[in-house]
Amino acid sequence: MLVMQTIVNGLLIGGVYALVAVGFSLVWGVANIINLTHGVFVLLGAYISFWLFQLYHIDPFLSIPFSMAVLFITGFLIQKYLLNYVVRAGVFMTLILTFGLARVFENQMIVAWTGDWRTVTTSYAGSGFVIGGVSIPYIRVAVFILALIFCICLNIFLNRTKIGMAIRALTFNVEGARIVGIDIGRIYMITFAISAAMAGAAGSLISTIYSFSPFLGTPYLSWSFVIVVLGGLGSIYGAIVGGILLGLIESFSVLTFGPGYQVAIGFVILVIFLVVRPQGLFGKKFLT
Amino acid sequence: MKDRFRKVSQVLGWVLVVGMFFMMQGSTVFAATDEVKIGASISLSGKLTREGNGLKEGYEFWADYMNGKGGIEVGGKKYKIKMIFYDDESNPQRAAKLTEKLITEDKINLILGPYSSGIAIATSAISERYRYVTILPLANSDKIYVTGYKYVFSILPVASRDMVPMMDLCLQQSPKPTKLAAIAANSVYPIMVAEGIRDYAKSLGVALVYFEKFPDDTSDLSSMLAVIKSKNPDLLFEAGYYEHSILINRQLKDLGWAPKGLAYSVGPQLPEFAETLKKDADGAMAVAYWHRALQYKDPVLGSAQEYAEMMKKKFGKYPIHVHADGTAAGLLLQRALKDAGSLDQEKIRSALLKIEVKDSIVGPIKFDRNGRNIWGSTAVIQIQGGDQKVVYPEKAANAKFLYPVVPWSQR
Repeated sequence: MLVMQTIVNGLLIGGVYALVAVGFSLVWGVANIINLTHGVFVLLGAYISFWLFQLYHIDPFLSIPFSMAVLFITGFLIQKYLLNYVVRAGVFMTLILTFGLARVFENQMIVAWTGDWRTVTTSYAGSGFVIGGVSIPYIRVAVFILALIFCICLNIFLNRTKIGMAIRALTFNVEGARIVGIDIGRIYMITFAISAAMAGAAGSLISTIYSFSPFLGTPYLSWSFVIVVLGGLGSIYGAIVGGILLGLIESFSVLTFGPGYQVAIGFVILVIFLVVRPQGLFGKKFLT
Repeated sequence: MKDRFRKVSQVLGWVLVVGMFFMMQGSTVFAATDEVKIGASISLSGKLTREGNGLKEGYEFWADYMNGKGGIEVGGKKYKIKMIFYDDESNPQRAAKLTEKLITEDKINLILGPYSSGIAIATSAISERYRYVTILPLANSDKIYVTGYKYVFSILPVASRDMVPMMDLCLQQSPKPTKLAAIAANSVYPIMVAEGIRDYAKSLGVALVYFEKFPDDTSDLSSMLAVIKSKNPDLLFEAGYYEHSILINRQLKDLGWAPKGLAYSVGPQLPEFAETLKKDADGAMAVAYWHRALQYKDPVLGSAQEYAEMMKKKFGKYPIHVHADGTAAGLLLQRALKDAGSLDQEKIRSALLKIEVKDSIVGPIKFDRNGRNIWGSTAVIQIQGGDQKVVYPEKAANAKFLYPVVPWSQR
């Protein structure tokens, strides 16, 4: 029964992990941008939902479209006016720029909203159903389902729409894409914006189940790294599988080794994968 | 073109350097009245921001109160108190750097301690090196007081005894609890508290079914709590800080399980605990380092209740232990200065070692050779109906201890 509870816990949180990582994976796979601001985007989504709930009593699930829209615009502007200028200078430059951006955002959040930890506590928080001794909170199920829906929608977008296919074209061959007339700069902007919007949605969902503060950008970013390595770069299914896998691994590590090793185990797996199967389960090999 | 650019940037560079040199001089010499500079590195942001800001208010209250009376007396002369606060962002390394800055650059006369043992260990290493006395109002992990430091003094009694009164209370109930699960955030103070209660439980024959440390900055403990639930302990005692207690309480509710006796080291001491969790907070116990209902009285400030009313007037809310222990630290320092008759650290240290405070707003204070307050004791509070009620010691209790905790579904 404890094992069942552990599986359920890991599975449910894995969905959120997947949504956090999916945007990160997309931007890296498409534009070769390792976006160190990604964790902060997630946080911004969480804060937007928090303040809308706190000030206007808007249910956090209903505020998701709003946080996605705000993050979409933010991502678009960052790509257009900052990242576009360094994309051609190589991965290292984008690392530095996004790192700096993350610190700027982080400190602005501290100034604006203080270091207090926040969370969204709705009236239905904590309620759930119990099946065979395993307790399943409603919110976690809703979050899991929504996270998966977002990932699947993203996948449909990438495979069935013109813009989506243009984005995918860039992951295969940038020169080829340019030759067939795809506007690289514009596609980068849209990709980055979508990635930020996904992060925003993830943040809104996270605000309902976890507490957060401006300093949590880095842990969210670490999850993204581990999941990208596990699931493979640029693959949505990879992010989903990677996310769920990470959730389950962390859950079981608490059962087996104790809570102190929860984060460490994820990174041990990351190292193992890097050595044994660096492209992850579904991804292509890393670009350098 | 390139040459001119280089020349201009060289000149600009020098202007910048010279300008910064002058800016760094700061305000040093011109003090119109005699003043005593007291420095404190406190967690004004980060994980411990709530507790840290409370401590700052406690210090400020003392400084403003005494300055309103013309200052504090040292060697027959009156000095105004000038507090210098720095934000250590709840980070021990930063706190250590700031303490060094206070001593070497700001040239403070005296230090008042930070919030939390983890940070105090870092700052004490620095203050010990420079031989500056530090009164620690809120850092009571036993670890600090066995290192052989000579210049630290703790207002609170040692951490390992913190939860003893709670255990005693629970063991008086029937049916008598027999199984304990103890968990601690992986930080200096919580570990001492948890190990202390573990050892105490063992000495009384209570079975320890689970004992683990969890990461200090975790955002998810549901897996650990599921393991604890499967062991079905009667008592769950947690040692950590405010954020941990909120997380654990919520995730216990998610799991649909609560032990018969639930205790946290810090959480319920802060009013935000009951405000945030509402009816889910009921039944939780906490160590109470201080409560305004306790019958303490300070010769300078008045009773704990009078202090509470003054604080309410000044800051708009009733004080909790972080405020009271901060103010008490200031008052203790003031008394040590009067006894020492000088600002010399060695004389202040000797004065503190000899001091016997029969009563203060936080109760009696006397130090042993290692700086532990051997006259100090803790109370126990329990959240009932959204309010903090003192349930122990009996002479200060304003409510009866409720056991077992009401299950979630029945609230």
